[in-house]
Amino acid sequence: MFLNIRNLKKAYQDKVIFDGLNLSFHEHEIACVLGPSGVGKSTLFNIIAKIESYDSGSIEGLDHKRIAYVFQEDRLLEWKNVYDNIAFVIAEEKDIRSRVDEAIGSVKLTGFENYYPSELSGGMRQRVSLARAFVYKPDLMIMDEPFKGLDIALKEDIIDDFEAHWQKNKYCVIMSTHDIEEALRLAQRVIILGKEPAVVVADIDCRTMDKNELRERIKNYFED
Amino acid sequence: MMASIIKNKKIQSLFFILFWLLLWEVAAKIVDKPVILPTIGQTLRALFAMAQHGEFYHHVALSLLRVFWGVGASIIIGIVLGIFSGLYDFVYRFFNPIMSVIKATPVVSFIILALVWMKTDNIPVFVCFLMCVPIIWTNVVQGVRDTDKRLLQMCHVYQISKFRMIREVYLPSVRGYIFSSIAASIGIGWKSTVAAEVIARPEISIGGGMYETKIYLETDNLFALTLVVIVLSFIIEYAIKNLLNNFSKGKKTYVPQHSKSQKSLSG
Repeated sequence: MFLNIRNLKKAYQDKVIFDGLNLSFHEHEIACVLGPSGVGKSTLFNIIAKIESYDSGSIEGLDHKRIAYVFQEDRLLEWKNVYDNIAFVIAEEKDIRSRVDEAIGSVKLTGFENYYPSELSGGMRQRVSLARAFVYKPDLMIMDEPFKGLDIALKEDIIDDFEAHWQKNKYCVIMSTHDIEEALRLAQRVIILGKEPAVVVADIDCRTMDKNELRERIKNYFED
Repeated sequence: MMASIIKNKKIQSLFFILFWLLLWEVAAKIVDKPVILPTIGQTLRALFAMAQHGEFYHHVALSLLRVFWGVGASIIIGIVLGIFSGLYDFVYRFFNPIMSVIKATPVVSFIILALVWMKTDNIPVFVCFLMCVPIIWTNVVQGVRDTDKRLLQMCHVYQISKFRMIREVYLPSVRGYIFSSIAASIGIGWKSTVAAEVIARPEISIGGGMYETKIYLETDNLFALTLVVIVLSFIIEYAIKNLLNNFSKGKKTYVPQHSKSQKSLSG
């Protein structure tokens, strides 16, 4: 087991988000977390990334792991150019130039190294954010609706970039999306969160199931 | 044609300036006592007479230097204390009382106290520093607190050290706040320096010259020196604003993005 969440409890003032959530993630897998808005997907991701606290429970397997996070928004530093935004996360490591160049190449932004975020389109900015995660060489990559708001052609392109990178590096990916097709394309496992407080209502191994059947099953959960 | 000239804002401003100058001239003519209110001509004549002596430039230069030291020290100290006060609440609570007291204290109280404490030459610098440091400090604290929390979370995930966060995230975020507080403190620094010079009377200073005009009832000289202070204040403020604007253009000053997604983080 790569990451093990046991009996996780988390509440904001009057709203209980998790009241004993159990969930685990495996090495080298792309797990897609689905669920209605507000169910607690982002909270779960933030807790795993250690940028939000939890009330009780345990998360095993996080020690010494390098975590990269592709947020819903790109969170770029406006005063740094593309190259420096990507190099920012590995500034104290080795082979910076070759690693950054490779990351820039893998999101097809070669030639834009000296551009500032304000000079880029939304899609390009999100690619920089993806390259920043790639260059970090993470053990765990969290992606919170990373392709939201992109037009279809661009989304396909970025997903291709991501898939190619993952095929080479095979880190564990935990991602969320509202797009079932996106989940079907990328995920080896689909975890559906539901109810309030959130629990795992389905944990489906996509590799053993036909895509059409899977699509129907996921839709059924959302219709319920 | 006439209507468009009247509507032109620059021409309007020029007209208003001329109006106030005219009012000054008319009032001086009515009073007809240069000791109480000299005319524009008398003031300019006094200014030209002073400008004939090399000593005058020495006075101006030294006063300017005092402002430079006072404001410069307040910028450095204000930024360093402001960043740590913005980052750590207990540092903020430690400095907040003293900054609030400095802000509320009349400038003359500091000048008189400084007369007791130090050499007259240092008093204007000290007073200028005291007047400016709370302005810089307050702005920097606000800037640090307004730094985009989402960027800080990103830094946390990628294990960026505190030192690098200060240098590469906080400082660029606070840059706009620092610039506006520097622009605001230049004027105040200049005025408090001259006020301190009037009372402390260092040997060579604009303020010391102003004090002498009172003794010898040379009101035209007082007006001329005041004019020098005003013009220099305008020039410095204009130069600093231009300098900072150019600097921020080259450095891509940060514009906060308030996207909706910040709210949905908790969802």
